[in-house]
Amino acid sequence: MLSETSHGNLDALTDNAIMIKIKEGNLDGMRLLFVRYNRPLYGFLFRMTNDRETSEDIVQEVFYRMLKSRHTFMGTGEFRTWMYHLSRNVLKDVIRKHKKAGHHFEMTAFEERIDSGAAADEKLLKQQEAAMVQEALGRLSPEFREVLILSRYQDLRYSEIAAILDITQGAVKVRVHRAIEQLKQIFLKTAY
Amino acid sequence: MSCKESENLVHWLNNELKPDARMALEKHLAGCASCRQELAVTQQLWLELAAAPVPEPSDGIEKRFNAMMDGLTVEQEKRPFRESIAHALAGIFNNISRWQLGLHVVFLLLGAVLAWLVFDRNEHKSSQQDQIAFLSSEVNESRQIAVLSLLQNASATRRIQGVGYADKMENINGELIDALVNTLNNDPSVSVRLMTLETLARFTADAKVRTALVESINYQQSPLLLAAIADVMVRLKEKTSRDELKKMLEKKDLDTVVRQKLQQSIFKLT
Repeated sequence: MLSETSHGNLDALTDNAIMIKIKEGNLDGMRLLFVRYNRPLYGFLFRMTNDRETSEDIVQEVFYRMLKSRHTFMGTGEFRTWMYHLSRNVLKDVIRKHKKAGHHFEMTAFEERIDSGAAADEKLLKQQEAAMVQEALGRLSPEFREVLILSRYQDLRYSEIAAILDITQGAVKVRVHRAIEQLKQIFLKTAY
Repeated sequence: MSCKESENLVHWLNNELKPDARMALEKHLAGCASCRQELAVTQQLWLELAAAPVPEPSDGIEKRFNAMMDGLTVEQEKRPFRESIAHALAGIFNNISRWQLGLHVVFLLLGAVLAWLVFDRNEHKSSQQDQIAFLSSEVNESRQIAVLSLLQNASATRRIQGVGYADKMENINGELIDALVNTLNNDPSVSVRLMTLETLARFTADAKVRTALVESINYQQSPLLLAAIADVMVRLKEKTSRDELKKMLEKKDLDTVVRQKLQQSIFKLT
């Protein structure tokens, strides 16, 4: 276990530097990376699966796998690129297992996603919009949904998305454009 | 959508264009009404995506991670992951089940009320119509309040969201018109002003809106906005705008593309 002082020292380090420390045996560094990334990673997975429990399971699995395969982190790319890359693999495994078992992800009631502190009228509007957006996202093909989530919600640059998806930046641009066009078509059909 | 440039609109919003491509697109936008409209649609969609927030994860997510870290030794690391956290999972499961059960009961009750409303409709048809009319006016009123509040927000994204709500309304009152005109003339963000213009252009049956749009020409510094307003004026055949447009031509530092655009618009309005 790290003392507060050593944790404080780690706090100032970049993700990559912490990951190198973990690789050297300071496994507690993963606690800090968890604090930094569990929410963004959960957000990515929730938007991909629309399932809270599955997303939480996968977050746990990803952090476990990062610890397990820490020796494969080379530090040449960004930590978060590596993390998202890994989480895609776990997600694929999970989807494959669910398909095999004949399961499908259930839609979470969108009301749950609304901030309870919002004013009632604004809340109503938010609920309607959230439902439409979630439905539209769900209708996108997985590869389009993924690229939109990564760029719109995870604040990743195209260069990072290219590294995560193992494609060129040019291909990311094309995919983002096509995804937004497909989304427009879906919105036109459902919202208006 | 016909222009090749429209493929770059989403990358422009994403700030992923290189400076030369960015400038080329902005110049194209100043002269192409169709792409500006496409930009407004894409921008609106981009913002609407933000309307679907992710729910908070349960406390369990942190507990499970900490349980894993606390129990982590070289030997434990070799054991299957699910086995090592099974205990933590069992504890969380009970809470979730009870919570989900409560939610299901609420939905069941809501469903029953909804079914009663639907199947009883013949008997209460006229009163239901009154209720629907009342509810629509309530929703419209709520929307107006939300728009006014959003337009005051410090975040440009929230202000655009407010304009987006106004765009979906069937009619707008004087207070809302004033707020939108103020946004059109004074908002620091070009994107917000551009979208406000498109929204106000929907309500030009109201003479107040038409007058405000003509007067707004004086306030606009951005070539994009000037070109867009000129287009709206031509669309509305608003001949009273000619003088204001001509005044703009007197400005020496006016962008060449915009100058041509204004000249064409004045010609069309003559």
